[in-house]
Amino acid sequence: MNYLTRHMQSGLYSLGKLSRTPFASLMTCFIIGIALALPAALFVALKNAELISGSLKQTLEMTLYLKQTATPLQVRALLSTLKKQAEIKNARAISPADGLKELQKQAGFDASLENLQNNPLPWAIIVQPSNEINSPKQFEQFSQHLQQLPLVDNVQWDILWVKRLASFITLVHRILYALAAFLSIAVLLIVNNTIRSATEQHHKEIEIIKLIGGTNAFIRRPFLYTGMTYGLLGGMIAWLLVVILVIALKNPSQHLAELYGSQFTLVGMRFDHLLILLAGSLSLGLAGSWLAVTKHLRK
Amino acid sequence: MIHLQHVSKRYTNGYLALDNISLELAPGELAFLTGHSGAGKSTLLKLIAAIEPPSHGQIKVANHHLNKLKPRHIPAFRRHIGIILQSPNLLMDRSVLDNAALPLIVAGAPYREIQSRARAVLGKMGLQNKQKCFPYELSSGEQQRVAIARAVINKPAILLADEPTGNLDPELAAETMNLFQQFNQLGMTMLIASHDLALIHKLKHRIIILSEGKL
Repeated sequence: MNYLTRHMQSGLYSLGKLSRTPFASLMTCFIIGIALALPAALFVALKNAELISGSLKQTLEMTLYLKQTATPLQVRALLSTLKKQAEIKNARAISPADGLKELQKQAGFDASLENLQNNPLPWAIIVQPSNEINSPKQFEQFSQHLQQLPLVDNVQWDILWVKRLASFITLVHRILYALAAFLSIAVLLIVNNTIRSATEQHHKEIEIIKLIGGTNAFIRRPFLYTGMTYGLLGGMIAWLLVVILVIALKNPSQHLAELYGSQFTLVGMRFDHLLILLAGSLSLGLAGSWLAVTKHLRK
Repeated sequence: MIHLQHVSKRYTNGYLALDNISLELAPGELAFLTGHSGAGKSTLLKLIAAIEPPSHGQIKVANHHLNKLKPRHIPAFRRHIGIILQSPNLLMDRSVLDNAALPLIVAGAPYREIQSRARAVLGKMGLQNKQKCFPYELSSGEQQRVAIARAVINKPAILLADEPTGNLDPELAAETMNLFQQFNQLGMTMLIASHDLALIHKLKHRIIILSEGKL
């Protein structure tokens, strides 16, 4: 009997054992599935938050206030130079006259502004950074770079919300890692406890197999397959729960996004994410059962 | 085939089960091990089967020095010996055929060989019609015969039996002993622990008497 046949035999034997107690087996799988669904759902939420943050960053603009001495010719030359830079997606110039008009529209105190004898506003250039610049640090560095240009007097941009968003995403990342770690330990313990009960139930069988020359690997194999089956089915249930959650939230989230004038659509787990989830759950099932059987064999 | 030199066994609770035993069994020999309850018969068989380690002395079985045997080599050593206990110790959720074939499955024999050898050995035991039955459907005598089939299916060099007829009526006990004699005639070295002196004396083989852990 070759190695592969032995594994197939052990796998089929453990599946047969599980099918004889379908309710109890499914209950265990569901508990594992629910435990894994929590970090999986948080992961999906994080991916969506990253998508939202990405689209918001794309709308971030920097305002370059130029020196009062800047002439229209110099402004046009600077605008042309900026547009050629890879870090800049788009740039446009606002003359002092246009700036004043905008200010009148926004501030609502147009009468007071009309009394001004001289327009105090300088030339301004509005710069939209490229998508490669997406962290607060990169924004900071780019801002400093622009600040050093000879014609630029001051650079203004709203760093606070970018920092807030980045901090929020970092926090969610940490929560996700912690939750994934805690719930992985929970899954490990669930599988460990289930397999420990199974080894206690099959104590006599294990002793007989040892007596007739069965190796620890031979004894361990069907229990490992049982643990892996629990893990794999638990992972599939977790994926299914996340899919149901995404379907349930898709329309309400889209409606909410539309109210904010956004085209955002909720995304679910990708195929590679599913594979990672299944590989993780399978590994947890394997590790949990390995620990339980090894402990029993050492008794 | 079996060599014991100055072997003693003291359990962790301080009980001295065997005291300075020296014993030798030649290849193909059949010997009965007898003595009152608690004399050390089962302990001696456990030491020979590497189920328990000796406290003192040297044990050599089928060219294996058991004192030097590493735990990972014990399964391979056990495949050279067949073990029968007083209770048949069958797996109740597996058929008679699967129970008898267990040592071949464990050894990784090909499927066809497992099937043919298991059928052959069950036929020899008169259980050819019970192959698909489960152990709980058999009488105690039939269960013990399945246990014997399981012990000999691998054609072991040594067969150790601990009170194999303890749960059987006199007729079945005699039948079982006849089976052992047949295996012995095929060259199997056998050590059978029994306190059924009448049955042992009838068979005219070597008798080893143990009393309070001593020969």
